[in-house]
Amino acid sequence: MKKVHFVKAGLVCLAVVVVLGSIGVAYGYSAGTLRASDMMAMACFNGPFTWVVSNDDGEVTSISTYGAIDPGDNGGGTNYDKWSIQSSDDPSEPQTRGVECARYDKDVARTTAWMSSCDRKKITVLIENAYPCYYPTVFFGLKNNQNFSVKVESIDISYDTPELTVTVDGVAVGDVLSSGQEVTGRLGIHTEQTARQNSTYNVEVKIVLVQKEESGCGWGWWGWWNWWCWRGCWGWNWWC
Amino acid sequence: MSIALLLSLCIMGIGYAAWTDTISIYGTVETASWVGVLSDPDPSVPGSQNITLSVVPPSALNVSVSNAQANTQYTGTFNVNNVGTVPIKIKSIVFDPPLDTTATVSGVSVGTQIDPGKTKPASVHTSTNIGCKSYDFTVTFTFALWNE
Repeated sequence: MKKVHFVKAGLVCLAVVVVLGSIGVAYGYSAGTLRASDMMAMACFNGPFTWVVSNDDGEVTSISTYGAIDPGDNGGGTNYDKWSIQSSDDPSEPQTRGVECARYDKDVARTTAWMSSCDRKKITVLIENAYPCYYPTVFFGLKNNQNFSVKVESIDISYDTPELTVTVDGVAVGDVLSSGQEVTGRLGIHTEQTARQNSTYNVEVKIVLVQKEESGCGWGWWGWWNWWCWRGCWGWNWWC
Repeated sequence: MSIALLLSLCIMGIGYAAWTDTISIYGTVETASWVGVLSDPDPSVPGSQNITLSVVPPSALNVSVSNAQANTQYTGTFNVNNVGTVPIKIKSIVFDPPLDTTATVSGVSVGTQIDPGKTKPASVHTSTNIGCKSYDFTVTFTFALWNE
């Protein structure tokens, strides 16, 4: 009898594998050809960055959840206007989201920032015509799009010169973002007095996110069970 | 087969548990230039027949006066230019006229701001209280960013 049960169990497993495989094959064939746009649709818009705003690109930007992010970024310069509406009087101190900051009475430098349109994992910041004591701020939304909690494992800030000071706040190592939670990060780049003329400096910020390890549940071999424990599904919490 | 299925699920679990993601911000900072220069001594003003200005790049001026009459003012003109991309201001003007002579600069002064691409006309005035005197001196400008 035992042998019969073993064979039955095997057949059930085989059936499950065949069914899952069939679903995959059927899906693959249903569209005839897997189009590039389909692949993009699957790969895109899942990244953690949700928005990015520069406070010196000449436009006050509003994000629905927060309202105006960078008030004072009104475009144009008071006593000197290099960029017209593409930039504003230059910020001279870090800006707090939604609060105006001190600005010079001249529009000399400009900061633009944009997000990779597809995967939303990369923000690019370009600062033009910078000079000592120019201090733009770039705000960004960071959202946990996973269905589990995510922890900020590390934030590495690197730049190739002591003539800049770069800070990231609003998100810190050890922060935990629950599923769907969004925080506002802030990047400040200060050009120091010693900055050289006609130079180009590079800045890189890498943020590593990991799945939040739940207490009582292990990693590795138990990962799959961990998942169910964490979700509390099917009343299997007793596994934890 | 069951074992294979179990292993697959375990591997999926391992993969799921090891989820990680790296996101990046790349910044490029291009700095401006902030340079003030002197240029264009103009010999066509009164007294220029006895005074000669010559620029010592980028921001000094040699003033040469020949055969000066006593208590007569000689004037030479020049320009102060901002050839950079940031507004600048004049931080200092230093000149060293010799004994028994005086010198002043008009048109610009310490603190005068000049926007990029703009020029400010200026003059140097000098006189002596000794007749038939020839002398030279230098006027040196230093510049700073307008926000210093």
